[in-house]
Amino acid sequence: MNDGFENLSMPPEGLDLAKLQAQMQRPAKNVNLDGSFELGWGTAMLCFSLVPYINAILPKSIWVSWWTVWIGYLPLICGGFAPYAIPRMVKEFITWPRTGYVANPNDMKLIQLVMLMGFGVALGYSLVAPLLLVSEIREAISRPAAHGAWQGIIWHGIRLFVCAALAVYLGRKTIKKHPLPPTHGAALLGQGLGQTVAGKQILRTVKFTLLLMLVGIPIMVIGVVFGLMYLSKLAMRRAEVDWPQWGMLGFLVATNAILYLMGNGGTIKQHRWKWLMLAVMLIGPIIIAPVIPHPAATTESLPFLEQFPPVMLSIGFMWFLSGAATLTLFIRRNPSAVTEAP
Amino acid sequence: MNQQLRAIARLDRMIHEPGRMMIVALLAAVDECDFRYLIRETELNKGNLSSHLAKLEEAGYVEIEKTYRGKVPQTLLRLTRSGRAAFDAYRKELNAALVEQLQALPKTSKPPSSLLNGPAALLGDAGLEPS
Repeated sequence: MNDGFENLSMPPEGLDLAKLQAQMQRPAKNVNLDGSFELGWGTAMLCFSLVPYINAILPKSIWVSWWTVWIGYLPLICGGFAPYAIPRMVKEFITWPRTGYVANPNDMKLIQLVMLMGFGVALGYSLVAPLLLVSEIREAISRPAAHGAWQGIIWHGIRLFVCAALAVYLGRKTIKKHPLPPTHGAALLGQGLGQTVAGKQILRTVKFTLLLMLVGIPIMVIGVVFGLMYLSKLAMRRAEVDWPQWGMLGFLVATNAILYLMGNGGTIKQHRWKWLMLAVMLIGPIIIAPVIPHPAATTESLPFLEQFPPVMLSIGFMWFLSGAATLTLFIRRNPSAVTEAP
Repeated sequence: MNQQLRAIARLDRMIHEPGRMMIVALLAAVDECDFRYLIRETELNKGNLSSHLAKLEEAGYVEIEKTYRGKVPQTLLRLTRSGRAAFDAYRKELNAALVEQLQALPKTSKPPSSLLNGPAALLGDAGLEPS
């Protein structure tokens, strides 16, 4: 009956599928072990939210010359590259000398980031350009005598066509050939979990929870944010409530909280203080953001976007703080070693 | 019962050994890693890890590359295409063996908790202690 079994060297733990699945999940869970993801994301948010403040300080003359205009866009460029460059630097100089080198399939590559940014810019232009084009065409029809109006429209049309084609091409490439890091990580975790009957049950529970999170939590958080903002005189800068603006902010705060939870999924058990950080991230924008001065006081930005820089600034600061604390704890717990294989 | 146990006996023994299974499972989840990362993650000692890696390399499942990171020597490890295919097949076979075992149980009886964790304890249920 048991022919073939005599030669099997398998202690009881040898065939433990639960261990197999845990082992397969380890690399994905340890991606943010050092807080590098939080640091990168926090820096990006800080850079993006600092743009209106920097623009308010910078002299208007920098926008005139092509040689100086890049200074105005510098924070945007830094913000775009921060989620790639900062984790990479932290891993290279701090993490890998301590834990050993590992390249995960879900690590974002530079080409992937450039493609993603190109896709974002092309998509943004493709969505905005038709509106501008329509208004230009209307103007050209209403003023047929205007010279060069149709020439400009044709150029805009060509640019729109190129951007739309680029958005479709890069979108397909980015999503199909290079799946975004979180989706790849999730696929890996799912693959690992699917190893056992208990794991499959957990997977079903996780999927159900994610569905609840996607649908229920934003609604709940928006409700709480709206309620608190309505009650708190501190949060109100105006006598009237601008519902679309606060709704957008509520959505930003809620999605950010979900992103923070997902980014820290593997380490939150080890760092329980991150729950407090999450609470601060949810309540912080309501308390801190009204205290931060508005760049709109000195610039001609749209009133709709007035609240975004302070909120993003406070959220970005929380991300950065959380990342820095995680990194400090990681360094304390993992002394550097430089030995190699025999 | 015999048929289901035979399914377990047919598993790829190169991967089936606990230490090697840990190594292959980790390498399947990453693009590449170095020796030190594997030591940390598997908690095997250097000698054990080296001998397991040598066997996996001999079987063509793992590719080992000796290189330098700055001035520090580094041993890069990655799963080969055949290694990845073998691990996928191993997982499928192991799952199939489990499912067969689950289906063989009478519907009224509660599945043994060991079944949820894997066939190791399942062998114990069958009265077979692995040698």
